[in-house]
Amino acid sequence: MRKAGLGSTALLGLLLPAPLAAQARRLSESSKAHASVREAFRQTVSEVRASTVRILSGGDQAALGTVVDPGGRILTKASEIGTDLSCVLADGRELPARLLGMDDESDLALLAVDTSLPAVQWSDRTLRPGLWLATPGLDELPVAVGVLSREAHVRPLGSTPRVELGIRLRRSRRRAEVARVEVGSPAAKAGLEVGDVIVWMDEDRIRSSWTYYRILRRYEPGDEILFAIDRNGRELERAIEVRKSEDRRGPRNPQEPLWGPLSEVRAGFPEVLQHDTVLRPNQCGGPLVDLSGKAVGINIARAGRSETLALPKQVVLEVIEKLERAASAAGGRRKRAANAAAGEDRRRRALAFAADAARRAQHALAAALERLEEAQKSGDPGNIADARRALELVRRTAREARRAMQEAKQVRDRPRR
Amino acid sequence: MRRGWPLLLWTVLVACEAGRAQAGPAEQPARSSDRLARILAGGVPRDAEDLRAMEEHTQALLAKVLPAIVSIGGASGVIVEGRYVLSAGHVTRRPGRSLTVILHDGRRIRGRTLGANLRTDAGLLEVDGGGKLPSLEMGRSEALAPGQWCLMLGHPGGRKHGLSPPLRLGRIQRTSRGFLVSDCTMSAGDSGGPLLDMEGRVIGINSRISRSLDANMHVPIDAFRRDWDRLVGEEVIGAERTETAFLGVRHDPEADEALIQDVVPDSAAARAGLRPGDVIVRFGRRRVRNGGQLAWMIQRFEPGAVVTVEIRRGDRTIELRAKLGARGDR
Repeated sequence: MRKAGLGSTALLGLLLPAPLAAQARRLSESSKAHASVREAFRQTVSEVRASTVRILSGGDQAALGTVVDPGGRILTKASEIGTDLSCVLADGRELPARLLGMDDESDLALLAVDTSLPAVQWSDRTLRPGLWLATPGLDELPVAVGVLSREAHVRPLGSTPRVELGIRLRRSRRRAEVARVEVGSPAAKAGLEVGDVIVWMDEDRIRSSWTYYRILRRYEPGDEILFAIDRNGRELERAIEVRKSEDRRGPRNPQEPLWGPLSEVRAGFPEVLQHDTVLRPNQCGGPLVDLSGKAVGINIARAGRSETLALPKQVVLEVIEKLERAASAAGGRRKRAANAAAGEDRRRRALAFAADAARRAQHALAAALERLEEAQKSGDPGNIADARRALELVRRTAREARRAMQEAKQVRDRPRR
Repeated sequence: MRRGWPLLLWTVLVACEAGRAQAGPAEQPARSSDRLARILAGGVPRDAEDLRAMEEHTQALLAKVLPAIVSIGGASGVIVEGRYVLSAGHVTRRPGRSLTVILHDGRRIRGRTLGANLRTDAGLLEVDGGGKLPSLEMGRSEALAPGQWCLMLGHPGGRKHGLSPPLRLGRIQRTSRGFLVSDCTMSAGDSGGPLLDMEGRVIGINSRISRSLDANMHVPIDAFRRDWDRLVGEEVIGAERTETAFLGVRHDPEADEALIQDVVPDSAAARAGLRPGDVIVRFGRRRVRNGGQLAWMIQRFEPGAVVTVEIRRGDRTIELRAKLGARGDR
């Protein structure tokens, strides 16, 4: 039997064991989420539970949903729902639901059911920490309660880049060596291999794994980066198109296994309300209400052991507008798509041409940089000046070529009319 | 058997914040202040009106206590008596360490660790803020009863620029083996932050968690009172701790498997031939699913134990034998 000694660092050997308590949450009578406390919220949720639905996907509860329009429009958490959707209402009815659209950043999905339902009312209260918040379900008592933990704020993705290539680097201050290549990723398609060392990304010399991530952050999804790679002493060049990062888990922590189930998408939202309500991931998507029963937001993620996040009212209202607009535009767009197909081919060829020019310019750039480096080694001021001028020229060309490529891309991606 | 996991953050986050005005004392325009007092002392609110009274009380109290909450590296603390910071023993560790303490208004001051009780996990620092710092009163923990309402503050995930520490509201669950247990959910970084009664008095200091979300363990404030003179006198109590087995690897927290990122030089892992990039597949013949699980498994062994470690290196599977060290051996 050991005494209660205490460890203190992140080194694996120093973390202490926990008694393996049951995973299920059994609430003691003295818990703040016990039914005897939730009973006090009966009046609070008496109306809003009719504006709350349970979203089933393939028969199982995937999320809760919030009725935002009496015409049967429902918002829910996009990343939790699958196909074969239906909604269970507070009165017990189960109705099939159609997916009208999704918004990536907020992780909200707009559904439609063919019935009229009371929409949630939105709260105008000032949101000060300490505010009681209830998460209504379909029943007479809320599924859980908690308090607002802090003022509304932006929760960035943390160190997770917005874009990725599908590789993982070995952490090092001296070189950027590929430790893993994800199957089917842009990097894999371009032929990157484990052990490759990234030397250049476009015009930037990469000297550590940190530099790689820092430089990567400058790119947008769809951009193409020219990589110079050292593979066992041989220099290779590969152009790789970066894709949008799928990882929305935010900063990681080694104690996460102790935190209970978390939402897979839990960071990178526009703005969030943080509260201490304990929810399961499949209880997100429903309204979060103050004591008057009016919604201050929509629960969007179980984000940590001590935090659940909600999207505040103003974010939700903006997303609704955006999704409704997109949904009504979608009908007309299908007709126009056919006409556009012919032009598509031409635009694709133009883009390929521009991309090729950009690639060649990058190549010239790498050569010019090398020439400058050599000139600097030789120490001859005339040589250095020449190399600088040449580099400047190539840089300009490269910039223009890149711009041309971006324009070609925009033309390709522009909505057709 | 050890209880729970300490709540240190693994990375140190620092930030600064603009000043915050200190609000006046809590006011309770409730249905009746007696009724509110009875609820807060362990009762149950009956309706929205009771809840509203609790809400107003909590909001006023929060504004009053926030200025005394500090950030210490990746952990937390609370100022008492104008110049002491209560924190966790696993945060302060040993006397004489110089640490940066970030006050609620973003000001950074030097703190010096005093004594610690490594058995109760009480830790004390002294700070010099050039004048009296905003402080909280130390309460009593002996008479706390299950059901009593409480507030908890700290910096989970490290201090965030421009944001106050997130409030957790909960109730005392029980006292257990010298710990005060509440249902205020803590996570890494909350270590050292205070558990407060509904009058804003410190009744506990955040220490560790267990797997259940209702098992949040705090050092009872009476443990500080009992050892106060020895803590101020820079004594380390309970230092004759049992040794902990040590392998000497750091795993990649983002990996879905136990991927080794670093190997501590001269550690058991280094001597056994483990390298960064290896994936530990089995440890002592048991399957390892991820790094968190590995940490837990290492602890099941005594220092000096020889353990078979099966690793994946590239596409090869290799079996190594590691003689575990003790923490501090390296």
